[in-house]
This record gives sequence, C-alpha cells and structure tokens, in this order.
Amino acid sequence: MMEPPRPAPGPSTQTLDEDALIRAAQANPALFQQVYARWVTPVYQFAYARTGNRQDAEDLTSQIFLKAYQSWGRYKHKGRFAAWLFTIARNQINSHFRSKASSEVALEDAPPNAIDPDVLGTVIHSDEIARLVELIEALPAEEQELIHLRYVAELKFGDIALVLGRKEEAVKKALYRLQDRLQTQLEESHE
Amino acid sequence: MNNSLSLTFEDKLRQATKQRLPAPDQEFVARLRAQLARPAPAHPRPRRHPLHIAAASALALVLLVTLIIGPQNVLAALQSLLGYIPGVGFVRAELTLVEPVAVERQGITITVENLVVSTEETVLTFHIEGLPLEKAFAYCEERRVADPQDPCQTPPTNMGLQTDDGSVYEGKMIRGQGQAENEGRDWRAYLVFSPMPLGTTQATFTIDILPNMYPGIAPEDWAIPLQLQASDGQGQQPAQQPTYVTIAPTTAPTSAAPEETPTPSLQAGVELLLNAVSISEDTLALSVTVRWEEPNWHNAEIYDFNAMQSTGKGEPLPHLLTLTDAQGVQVPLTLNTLESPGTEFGAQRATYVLSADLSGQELVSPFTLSLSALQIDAYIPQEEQLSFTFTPTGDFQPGDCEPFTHSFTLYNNLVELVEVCSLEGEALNLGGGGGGGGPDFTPPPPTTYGLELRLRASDEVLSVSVIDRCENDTTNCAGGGGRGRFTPAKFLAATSLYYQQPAWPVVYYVSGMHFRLPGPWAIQFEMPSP
Repeated sequence: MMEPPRPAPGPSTQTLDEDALIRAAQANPALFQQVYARWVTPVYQFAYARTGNRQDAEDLTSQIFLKAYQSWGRYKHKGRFAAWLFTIARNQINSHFRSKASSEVALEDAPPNAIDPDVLGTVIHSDEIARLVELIEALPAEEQELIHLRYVAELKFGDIALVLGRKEEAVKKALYRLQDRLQTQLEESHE
Repeated sequence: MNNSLSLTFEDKLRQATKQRLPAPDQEFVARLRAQLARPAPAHPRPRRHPLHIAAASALALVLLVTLIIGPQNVLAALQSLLGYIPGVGFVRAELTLVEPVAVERQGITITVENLVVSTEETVLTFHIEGLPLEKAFAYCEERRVADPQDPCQTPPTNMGLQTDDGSVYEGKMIRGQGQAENEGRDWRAYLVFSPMPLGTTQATFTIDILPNMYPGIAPEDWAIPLQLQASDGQGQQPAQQPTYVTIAPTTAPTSAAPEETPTPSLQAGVELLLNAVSISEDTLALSVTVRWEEPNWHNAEIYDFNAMQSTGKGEPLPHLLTLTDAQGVQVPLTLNTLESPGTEFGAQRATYVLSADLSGQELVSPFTLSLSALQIDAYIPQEEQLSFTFTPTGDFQPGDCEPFTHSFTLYNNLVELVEVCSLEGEALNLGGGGGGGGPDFTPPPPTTYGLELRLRASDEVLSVSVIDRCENDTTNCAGGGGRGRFTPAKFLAATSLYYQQPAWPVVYYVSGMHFRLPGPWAIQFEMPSP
C-alpha cells in the first residue's frame, strides 16, 4: 500500500495545481503577479513556438498577460485557469497573425533561421530529436498547435479541449494518432 | 496504443518541441511582472508646505548624507539622487511634464497626468474617463447574432509618443489597467517608452483606438500635445508636483543604533536592504529589497498572506513591514504594489516600494524598519523532489478515504501526509458547466475524478505542492495536484485529476511549498522629522 519516500526519478512534466493561488489572487488582484510568475514561461514559449522570434514572442506575452489581467475581475475560477489563459493566448496569437496577414509566414513555411540558430545549435544534440523537429515543423498548423498545447504549454487534455473548442476524447484521439504517425515517420527515417 | 512506447516517445516529443524554445529573457520577465501590478490606491495629493521648509529639509538631508558617507562621496551621491513619484516609483527624472493635460471628445476625456523621462525609460501616466461601454457591448452582441462563434475581440490599442523632431516611440508596457471604479468606464495606465532625448521640450501622445473599444464606436486617433521641462535633479520639481529629496542608497544599518542587541538585517540567508528613502512635505517613501541565498525560493514576499483573506478589493495589501520611530511610535506603511518591481527572477531578490503619510506626526530619528516574517514560495527541482506511492485498494470508490501516513520536513517545516480521498463530479468543484468570465472563455467540460491528498502542517505552512505526473497511466490521468488548499477540516489538500477512477499506483511528488519564514530583520536609519 505504501512505500517509503525516495528521490524522484528523472525529468518529467511538472504540473502545479494553482487552485489556492488563483483563489487568493482573485481576492487580491495584486497577487496576479504570482499567477504570472507561474505561467510566463509556458505562455512565452507557446508564443515563441508560433512566431519563431523573440520580439514577437515578448510582445505577445505582454499582450496576453495584460489582457488576462484586464479580464481578471470577470474570471470565475472553477479549476480551469490554464484553459482560460491559453484561450486568451491562442486568440491573441491568431489576432497577431491576422493583423500581420501580409507579412505572415506560416510556421511550416518559415525560413530555417526563424528560430534562433544558437538555441537550435545548443539544444539539438541528437539526430533523432533533430529529425523529430523537422517532422513537427512540417505538420499542418492545427497539428502543430496541438503539439504545442500539450508539450509546450503542458496542458491537460481537458484544458486543450477547452482551448480548441473540441471534445476531450477527440483531442486525445487526435493527439495519439499524431504521435503514432510521427513515431512511424521517425522510425521510417531511420531505415 | 502502446503506453510504454508512447511514454518514451512523448519524452522525445517534449524534447523536440519544448527544448528548442528559449526561456524568456529574465529582464523582460521582470519588467512585465512590474507592469502587472494593481494600480495603487489613489492617495490624496499631499498638502504643500512653505518652500523654506522643503529647502531646509533638503539642506538637512545633504548634511546628513555628508555625515553618513563622507564629504568626498557627497557629489556622487547627489548626482545619483532618485526621486519618488507616486504611481511611478523611484526614478531619476530628467524631464517631467509642465502640467497635466486633458483633452475631451464626445464625452470622453483623456488626461495625461505625468510624463517622467529618465535615462533608462520614459513613463507616461494617464487616465481615460467616460468610455462608452454600452456601445461596445451592443456592437459585440450584433456581431454575435451574425456569428455566435465570433470571439468579438477588441483590436489592439496602439499608444505612442511623437517628439517634435518626428521620432515615434511605441508604448511597450502598461503597469496598470482600468480600475473597477465607475464599472470599467474609466481606464488608467502607466506606459513605458524608450527614453526620449533629454533636450525634448514638446511631445505628442497618440492613441489610435481607445482600449476596450471597437472601430467606429468612439473617437479615434487622439493626439495630445505635451510640454516638458527639465527636472533639476535636486528636488526642485515643476508645478503640480510635490517636492522630493532622496537619500540613496542607504543599504546598511547606521551606526547610531541605540539598541543593545539590535535585530540583524541579515539572518537565515535572508538580508533586508533599504535602497532609498524619499521625503516630500508629508509623504515618506521607502524602497526596500529582500535578498536571499536559497536558489529554490522563487519568491520571498513581504505580503501578509494570512491577513489577506479579510482584505477587500481595492484595499491596500497587508504586509509584514513596520516602521517605528525612536520613541516607539509606529508609522503605518502602505505597500505600493504598482511601483514595486517585486521579485527579480533569477536574481534571488525582491524590491518593494512603500509610503507613509507623515502629516501631523511628531517623529524622532532614528527610525527602525522591521520585517517580521517573509512568505517564501519554494519550488523543488524535479531531481530533488521526494516521492510517495499510493496504491488504491481494489474497492476504492468515490467518497472513500484511505490512510496514507508519511511525513517529511521541508525548510524546517514538518509535513504529515494523512489520507487520500477519492472524489467525483461536483465534489471536485471543478466543472458543472459554469465557467469563467472573459469573452474568450469556453465553458469547462464535464467533471472528472480526483484524488485528494490530505496533509497536516504547522500554521507556518500556507500550502504544499504535491503532484501526480501521470507516470503510471497516461491515458486516464490528467495529473496535477499541486498547491494544497485548506479543507473545512483544516487539512491541506492537493487534488489531482483523472478521467477514470484511479486503480493504479499513484506516485506523488513534493514539488513546492509556500511557507512563512519567521524573522525579524531590521534596519535603522536616520532622517529629519518632516
């Protein structure tokens, strides 16, 4: 039934339930700063994954949090803060691309230097991961978004479903199918 | 679906997606955090005293600076004087607005209250009154009749400063947003621009579309002319501004400490620093920094978390700092959240700005600034997290609780795990089809299952983060758990979520703790009575 404490194994996702923090911040909006501290990195990386450059990611991150802060008084917390925040993030990013439609470069069409070369160079240390990056970047925008919501934003399936306006089961199936396909493509590329 | 294969592949996917993304620049993170603070409660403008009193105070402070840091450093100190400007904080103002400017169009008034140009940034303070929210709501309703899925987002508001040489500066950050007063029809903001040339005498503040408005429903393309003038850096501020004189920096206790065993400013790996003191006619402002050694502490805050439960919206936040004069008279300090940068990420320090109304008080130096405790927010790196495995019995059903007795000590706080209870549906208080308020929010899905891990800890522990990473089931586990909250039975409880009633071993990791670190820390400093 019970086991003694032991050191945790290697890296995995860390999902913090922000329930108490969100409730405290709703009573005292100044604590929104702590909410921000918890979520700024995933939001920034989510924006960066779409825009591919630091400046736009920073601008969007600012807009997302400012909008969330603006709407804070109207948000009623029922345990779905991440879905709420990333719905704002997604809308803001989509709006960003709409307003820059003439200069928009879809991620799959982005030039190779759309992401800081130094970042790529320091991080990609295996051919397999590098190949997987290529495969992901070749995906349609909706599938990339699914990947980003799950692995960049680290959202639960239920929250992804909320953000995308889809059924949770549909999200799960879509993601699993996508994983299978990528895995097959990755294995084929080794052969 | 091969779960074990999928797990491995998920790690690769995570690597391929997340690790190629840079972390946000820490300076950017800190700056944005500073913008995301509630506007400080409006303070009545201080009454003005005769100029000779301000001048005498300035002279006394100069003498004091001379005594404290030595004459050879006086010039340098004076050159680095900071000014405290309400709503902006401590800045070294080079240019300021000659006078506030208000422009009215169709019942909407925009007032630029202040513009402060320093060598590092330009900060503009303004507010809008009379935003036609009804028109905006009606406009949105019309759009949703045509398309119920229309998110009806307002377009971004572009705000800029244009100088007379044609240069355009884009407002980058907003330190505060519309205040709740007047049901959101008023809007207040603090914009940050790149620093303008110090010789600038005129500028134009521009707004294309007003915030929260849609195109065509309110006057657009505002252009508000502003007149600037030099600030002399020694406290002589232009009209409409109170006079400020600053001692800066004063980062150590003075030698005049009268106590036999003074409270230290550094203990338990935490140091309290006083960066700057500013005195206007009857307003005192302090800039205070808390610095700590422990790298896993993400925040060390001076908020009094326990007292916050009774704090109403808009009221000043309770904090743990007290200011006392030599006779033991306590001076109430207001924490100016808007002006406080707060935690500087990665720097293991947090800075706060506080102010006090000194009017009508006879105070005697030296003063003692004391911090009774800190609220520490600690996040434990994954490789250092303790773990505990809970294996449900075969008949473990929603509503059941099973004992789960372990204990551990974290940052000198004993935490006892007590039991795990299974929850379902409404008991989780997560779903039910309600949902949030913003226009971008979609109602939550049907409720799921949950495991509530109940803990006990001392009153110093505000919450404990205990999470399930879904290591043993990726299909039916949504994971989470996180920051414990108090149940009615005074347990701390962390709830992790599942799509099916968990029947597999659940591994809990202790990933963080929010706790109260007792002090006190104290600094004594001299200042002339107002």
